[in-house]
Amino acid sequence: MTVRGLKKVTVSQNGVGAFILQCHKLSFHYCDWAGSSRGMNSFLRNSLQRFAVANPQIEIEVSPRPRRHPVIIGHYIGGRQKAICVRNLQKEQIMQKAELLRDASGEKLKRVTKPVKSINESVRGVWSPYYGGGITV
Amino acid sequence: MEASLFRRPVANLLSGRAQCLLALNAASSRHESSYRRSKSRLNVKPEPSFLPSYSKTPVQQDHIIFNPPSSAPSVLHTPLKFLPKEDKRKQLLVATAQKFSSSQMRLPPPIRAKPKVPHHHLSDADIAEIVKLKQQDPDQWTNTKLARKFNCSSLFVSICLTQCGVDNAERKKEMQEKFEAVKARWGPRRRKAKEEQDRRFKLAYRGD
Amino acid sequence: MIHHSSETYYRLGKNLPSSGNFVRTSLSALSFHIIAVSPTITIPNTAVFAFQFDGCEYQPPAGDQTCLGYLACGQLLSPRTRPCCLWQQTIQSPAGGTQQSRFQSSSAAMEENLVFEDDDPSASSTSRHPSSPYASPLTEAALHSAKLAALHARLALPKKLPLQTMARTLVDPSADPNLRFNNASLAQLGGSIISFHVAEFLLCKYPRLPMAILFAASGAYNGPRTLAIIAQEWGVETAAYPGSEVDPGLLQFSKLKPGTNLGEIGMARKNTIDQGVWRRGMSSRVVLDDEFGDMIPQRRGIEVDAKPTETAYSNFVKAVVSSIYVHAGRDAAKKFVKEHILSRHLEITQLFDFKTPVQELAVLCKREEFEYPVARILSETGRLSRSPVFVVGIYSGHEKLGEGAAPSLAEARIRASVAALKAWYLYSPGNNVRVPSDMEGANPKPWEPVHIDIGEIIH
Repeated sequence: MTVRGLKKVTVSQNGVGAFILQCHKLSFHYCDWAGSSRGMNSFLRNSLQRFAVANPQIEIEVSPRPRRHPVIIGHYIGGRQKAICVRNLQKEQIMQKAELLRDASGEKLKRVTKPVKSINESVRGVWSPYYGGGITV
Repeated sequence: MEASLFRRPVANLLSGRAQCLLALNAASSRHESSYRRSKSRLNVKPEPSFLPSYSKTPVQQDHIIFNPPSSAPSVLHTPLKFLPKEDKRKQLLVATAQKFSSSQMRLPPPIRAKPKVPHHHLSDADIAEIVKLKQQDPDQWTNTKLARKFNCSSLFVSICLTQCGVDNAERKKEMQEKFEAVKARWGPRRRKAKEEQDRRFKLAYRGD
Repeated sequence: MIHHSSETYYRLGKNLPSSGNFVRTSLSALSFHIIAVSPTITIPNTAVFAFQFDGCEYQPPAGDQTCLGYLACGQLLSPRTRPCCLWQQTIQSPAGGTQQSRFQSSSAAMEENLVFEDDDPSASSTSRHPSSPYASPLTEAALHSAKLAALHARLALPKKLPLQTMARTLVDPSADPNLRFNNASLAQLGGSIISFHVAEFLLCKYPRLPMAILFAASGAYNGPRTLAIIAQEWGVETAAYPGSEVDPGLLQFSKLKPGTNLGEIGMARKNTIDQGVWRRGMSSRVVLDDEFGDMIPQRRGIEVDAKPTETAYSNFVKAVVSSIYVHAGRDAAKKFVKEHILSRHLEITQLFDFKTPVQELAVLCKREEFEYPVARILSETGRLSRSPVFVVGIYSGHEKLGEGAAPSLAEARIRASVAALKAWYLYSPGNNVRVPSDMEGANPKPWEPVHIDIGEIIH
């Protein structure tokens, strides 16, 4: 055989074709007694159902965490987690935090300087001094 | 004394003179005069064909601007010759190529001015002679010597011999041992250079 | 040990005197004996919200073979006796208990025709925990798993695909050897569907790919490694150990024991190669091996053995595709394969490794009746310096076929030949080339024949 094939794997381009929401689980922790959980308890009673129905891709977990501040933990594909403490927040503010966790990719926050990031090769290729006409400066 | 030394830069800073502020970070930035000079030199004028129509020297815009990229050509661009006959691009490109190609196009010089040895000039009798000589005295008639005698490449000689069933495994092994002995004498620089060359060729065969 | 009454039991945990290190503070010195015990783990009380299952109301019809098991005699279960209630009866019946038995009966004559179908005796229940009487979760558990419903929604699966089938795709034969409850048959079908779509895509888009590259490319698109990555990117996690108490939303299979030699798994033809019986060339790979040119394990019953995570994950992806095919039809399965597998990025130019590119190009030009390819210097710099650069182009007649830059003329010639050969092999009629399965849709346009190449270069 004169040509040999090299083993490779394809690379995911989430959103080209199918889109997989990166947040796969949200866990809500509350305390029945403490005052900092008042907004959270109201959120769980009134808004959580609406949120969960709107986002069926996310597994919702609610568990008590007595004597602690309320917290929302987002679990992401790839194993990372993000937690937001929602003490003393109102119901609407907690909804915003839950949506923030839902929309996050799970990666660490970083500064985005270029509007487009692509793995496709550029149309004009990588510049090289050995090609093209060349311009005398 | 010490206190005055310490205080002076602070005082200069506070005095608000621009020169002092520049002097503070003089090491990290280029001088103003040299910066302007190099900047203006790098400010290359665009190709005249790229100038917009509202510029001082307006250019007629009823043509296609051809500005090939200054990068290695992509292998995904199939050459005209490689396009199959039924491909729609073939007819279009052939028409364009005929329009623009001049009949006496000068080709760049080949790597080798002319081939070292002629091709396809040996008859069956010559090949039989090669095999006979090799079988008579394999140590005397090495592939290189045979190639020189018959004015052909040593690759051709080796192809003839393998096709005629001449076994030169021993000779190969011997030469391999010799080469290993030579390799053992290499110093670190040559060894490194050879290893790098090997790696480069491996990448070249993959086209990376 | 000495005085049971005076022993103080501490739980292993944070901020306790006996957490890991033996610490004797003045406080703990007061107690006579400190023994660290690991806490007994109790299952947390969990409640599953009903709103997690919005949109999953669809129930499979009676006798659905993909999720409820089916009858050997061909009779179907009637809708009023779902196996979920049959399950409970089976558990309560004295025949249940530790003996693992599954109900496979006709509902009409339920009392008489109690058929218990024993599982593989090799995987008997002796090693199974009493809290986990079956090898895999019960069918009804799928309706209470939020993880499974979320996975269903995340993949945007058709509503017609019931959660029970989804649960079955997650059970590997190594977890449950019973063919009616594991995903072996689904994975077999799904693997064929995926490799069909990948093969027609590759053959139509790159009609000139040589066989070795075609194997490598299809392995890159739907090989087990890629499918395992896809399943992990879907957020599917594995159960630590399979059993009926496990959440049905987790992938269940028997994991390999640490220290297992991975080379030994399924290498049946290795010995024959060593004996010199087989020369494993491209022809034998085409005829005898699988769709990636890899060897097929020939030992029987290999499916129920413990397997690498990669294999279990890839079987799961195949089973999902086939369950879509079975419940929602051909077009839905094709759409799913296109969106999840064919939409991924592959740098196909980097799959090639040539051995003798210069000769191969010469043979190609001879076969296609082009002029003999000549290497020409396009430009060069620093020929006598330490680091020269030569840009060499390969010309056939007046047309340039490829070019390459390298620090030596020989290497530049090789690079140029490789570029020319890649340009030949990677000819593509276009990005949106039609594939044969497009003709299966409603009212397709008349078929235009795709380019078929005469084959790769042989010399």
